[in-house]
Amino acid sequence: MNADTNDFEARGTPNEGDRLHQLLCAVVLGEASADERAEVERALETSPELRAERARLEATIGLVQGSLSDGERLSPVAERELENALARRRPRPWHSRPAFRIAASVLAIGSIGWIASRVYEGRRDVRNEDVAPREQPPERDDEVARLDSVEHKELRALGYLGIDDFAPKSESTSLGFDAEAVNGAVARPAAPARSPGATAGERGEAGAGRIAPEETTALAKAKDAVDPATDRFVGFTSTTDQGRGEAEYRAFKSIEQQTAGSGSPATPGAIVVARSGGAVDVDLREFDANELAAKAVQSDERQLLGELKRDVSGDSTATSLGAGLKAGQARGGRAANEPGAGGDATRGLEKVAADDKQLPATESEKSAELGEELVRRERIEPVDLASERGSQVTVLDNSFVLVPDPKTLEARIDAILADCRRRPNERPRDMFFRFWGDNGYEYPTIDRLSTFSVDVDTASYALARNYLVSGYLPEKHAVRTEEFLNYFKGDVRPPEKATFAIETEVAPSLFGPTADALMLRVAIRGKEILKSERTPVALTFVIDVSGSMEEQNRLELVKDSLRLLVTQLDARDAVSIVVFSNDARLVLPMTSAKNRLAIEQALQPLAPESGTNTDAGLRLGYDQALAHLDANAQNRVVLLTDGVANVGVTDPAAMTARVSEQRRAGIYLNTIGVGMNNHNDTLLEQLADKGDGLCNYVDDAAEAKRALVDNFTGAFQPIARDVKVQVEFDLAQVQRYRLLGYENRAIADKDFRNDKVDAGEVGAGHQVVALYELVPGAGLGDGPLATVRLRWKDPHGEGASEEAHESAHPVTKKSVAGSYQQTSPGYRRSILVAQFAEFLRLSAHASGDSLERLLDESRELARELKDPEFDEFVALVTKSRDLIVARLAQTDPCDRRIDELRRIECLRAELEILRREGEFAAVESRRGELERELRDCLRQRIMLQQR
Amino acid sequence: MDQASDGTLLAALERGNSTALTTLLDRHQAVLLRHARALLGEGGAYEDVVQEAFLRLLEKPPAMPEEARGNELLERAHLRSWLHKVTRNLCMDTLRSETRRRAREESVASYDVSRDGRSGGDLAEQLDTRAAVERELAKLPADQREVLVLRLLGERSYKEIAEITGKKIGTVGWLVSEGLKALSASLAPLVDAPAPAGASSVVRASRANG
Repeated sequence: MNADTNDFEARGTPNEGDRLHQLLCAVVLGEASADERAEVERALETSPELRAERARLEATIGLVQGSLSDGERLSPVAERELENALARRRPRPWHSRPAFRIAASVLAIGSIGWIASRVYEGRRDVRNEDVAPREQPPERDDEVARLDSVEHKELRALGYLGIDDFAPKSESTSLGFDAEAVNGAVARPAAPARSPGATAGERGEAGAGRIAPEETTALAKAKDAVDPATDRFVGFTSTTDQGRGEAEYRAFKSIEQQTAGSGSPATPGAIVVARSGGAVDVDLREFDANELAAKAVQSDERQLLGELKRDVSGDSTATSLGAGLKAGQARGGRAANEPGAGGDATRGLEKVAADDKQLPATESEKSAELGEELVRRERIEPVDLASERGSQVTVLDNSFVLVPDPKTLEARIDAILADCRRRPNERPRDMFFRFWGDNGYEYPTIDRLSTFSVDVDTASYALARNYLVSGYLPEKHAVRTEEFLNYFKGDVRPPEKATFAIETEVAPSLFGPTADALMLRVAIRGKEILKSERTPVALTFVIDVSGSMEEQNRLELVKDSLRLLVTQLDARDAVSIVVFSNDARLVLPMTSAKNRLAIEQALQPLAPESGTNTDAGLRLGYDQALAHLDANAQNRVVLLTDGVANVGVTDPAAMTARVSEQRRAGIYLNTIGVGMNNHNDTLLEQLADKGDGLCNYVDDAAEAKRALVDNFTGAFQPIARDVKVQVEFDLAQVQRYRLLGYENRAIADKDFRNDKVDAGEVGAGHQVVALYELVPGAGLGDGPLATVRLRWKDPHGEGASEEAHESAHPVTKKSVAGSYQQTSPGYRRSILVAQFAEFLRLSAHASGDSLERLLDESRELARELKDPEFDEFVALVTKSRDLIVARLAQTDPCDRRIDELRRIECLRAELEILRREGEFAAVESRRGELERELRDCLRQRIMLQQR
Repeated sequence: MDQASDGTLLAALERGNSTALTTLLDRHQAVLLRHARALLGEGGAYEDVVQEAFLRLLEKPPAMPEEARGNELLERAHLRSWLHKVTRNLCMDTLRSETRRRAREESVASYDVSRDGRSGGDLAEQLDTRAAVERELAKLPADQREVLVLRLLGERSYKEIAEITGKKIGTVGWLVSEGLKALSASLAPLVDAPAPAGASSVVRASRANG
């Protein structure tokens, strides 16, 4: 951290190797001057070591960016607090305008003084709750009227005084207002979703774990080991190391706030982070009005934040909101009981007013600095309080390590336990998602509609395959069940005339512990378009020729893919090619696709170069496409890349913004990922999503053929856009249901018919499959147990209307098969593929399922299908078995117990919904036992982690 | 709102527009969290620092310089730099108060804080690439970690990083180079780039001949 001692210049002449390495870094990162680049280029030509070093640097940069770029976020609570802080700055209603607040505060102070003097005179006791303003309404109105008519410029600052600290009524209003927001914040699931935009409401509603009451005893047995003999999973936990860290951290924070919120002075060991809100609040105990006034000026909002934060973290929002209110009243009361407090407060106000005069409210830099200085000065107290706090910082190797003392440790453990509990008013389904990141069960009595956008991407499956083949398990977020399902060729017969065919099939669930569960498959098949009938395409290829494209012959794979693709094109079509490395250049202007020679001549000499300036490539590609926009053709840019942008604009938001803009101009975007290490799957998927195109992942020639040739019309001929699905479940026949996958494709139920809400595109011949697991209710009746509705618009193009189409399809008793074996091969394939995805996600639902069974059934089906694609699937399942077992074996005992605690909590929620609270007692004793075990276990783990 | 420039968003924010806030948060928070984490490490304080930085943005947003107005990229760069600077100052404040307290409580340091107790390299660890990258990044000295985060994840240029951190550009270049050197060595098993110098020339030569 010591800038000066590390100064390059101060180190004397660096050795040549260091210097060259620095230059190389500068070149790779696009920071070098032309001279420096030339020098490095020369060195690169003569030194194979340096070339290797460059490749390694690029790969490392790609790896770091690829693995760390998927946006960490502030907690939903923190974000909500910021929104509230903003809301407080907006034009205020009359009763909270500064003038009123001044009036009220003057009144409050006056009243306090008045009451104080009465107390002093010993006339009678004043009840704590009865603070002046309410007792003096007429006087107050007069004050308001008087003050409202005067411009007290120097008093304006007092508007921020936070009358709330004195006047209970104000506080109750503001807290009441925020309570809703807080509840909203609490209801938002904490688990990071791939698409951060999706909120709880959109994700769906309630639900609970698949833990039948009779399973309680099974739960009670500690799930301490994977039993390799039976190969059944026990003790699933969703928390990867990363996730666990986050969960603990979040939980830790919440305890911290609780402690701060208890109103007691900072307990050593409890608070780690200085929050002015909390600290000010602590000061209130002492009620130094002078300080309070000073701090309140700059921390009005923060203090409210502090209160909100505490309330959020409390076990019961309602109770602690109430408590907050009482605390506010008590404060006022205490003020009344403090002789002379009113006077102190007044002095405090004067001081603030004086300070404020020194600081004219301008936007100039200087004043900002002054302001910060003031803030710093006023913060002396909080900082000193921080010195009482319970973790110590140790400087070692220029790094800072926080080591908890025993009290902090216990607080952390409390927090982890608290995090395993249901939050106030949390819907079971949200809780489930928070715990495990999987869709939980939903009850039709709570929400009978399930709505989502279609997704025809398949990249997740291809990418997971690449991981598995290389001997790694893909990360949970990279396994998207819906993309696994949709990877496989359609089995439903495409419609002759209509745009879509919908088929539904139901059978008893092959997996899962509940014997009576059913699995519903909804398959939607798009119409096919004959190659002769397709619209012409104008394709602009944007090809990544960065250094890393040299690895695994990626660039050659790209060239081969394009050569294959060109075989599908004819005289109707046109092609142009842009390449990018540190910058972008056009290597083939828009050319008729029948001119194969020109295309080949442009492709052939392409060779890997240097950095990855995706933005420049896309920009030039779009320029090219726009310049040759053909109203009668599908105008499409196709981005082929292996990685993450590292030169120029690399901000995903800026890139997606450009893609959306160009989409409106009529240009689609497809993305094709090649290679593995740097593959920024999420970004490519988002880009394609915004560009209304397909995201493919290509790792070998076979996959390239599949994506570009076999699926040519699917990839380049959309038949419908904004395609949404809504399934309505029958209240009587379905007790609960859960959707497999589509976690980040959820749409709010009410937006199904809101045609402004964007959804996915479907290409010619595509099949979209969704699976629902259902637990039947009273029994199947004659009416449909569910109704599938599909809504879509025509693709863009000549004469396309904005009118949406809708069709409905009932799921009747007729489509329910007696057993899994009696279903269609396509249905069985979907079940097995989805189950594989569940396993790879280490989904909470797959806990207890047998991987061996999946393998047996898959082999069985493979014999029947004789489809090489499915044979490969069987090989992948086989391959993944050891990896999954190894991963489960490393699950530590704490995580297993955390998992079991969470399951118990889900079970409780379920019992509550089913109105079987009487059975709570059965799980309570196990919970107590578990919590004790978990405490011991966590103590060891946290201490170990700190080493 | 997704496509509005940062300048437009700041103006909207001044008017109390909450969508502007959400958009700005979406755009900038991840990299600020990374920055704060690079300086403060895991353990809690860094999220508060970033929240505080945004609170500062609400209270006293930076004025867009005339030359940046209307230019999306310049506006972005300007706001980012400002946010990074505020975040960095807040981190420094946090560290200062932590170190000051520590000076007073030196004797309490009873825990073993040696950081090399890990048994690296087993398969289990490698399974999670992201965790490995996080871990190796965390092992770097804080100043290297900071500039790497700003350059690779924050996408700030050397010049901007120099401005944000108060270091000289040459120092930034040196820190990036040292940090990347260390990372590319420790992450080598996860990158299937050519093996480190020595072996690589042989591989290359044979490939060239083939």
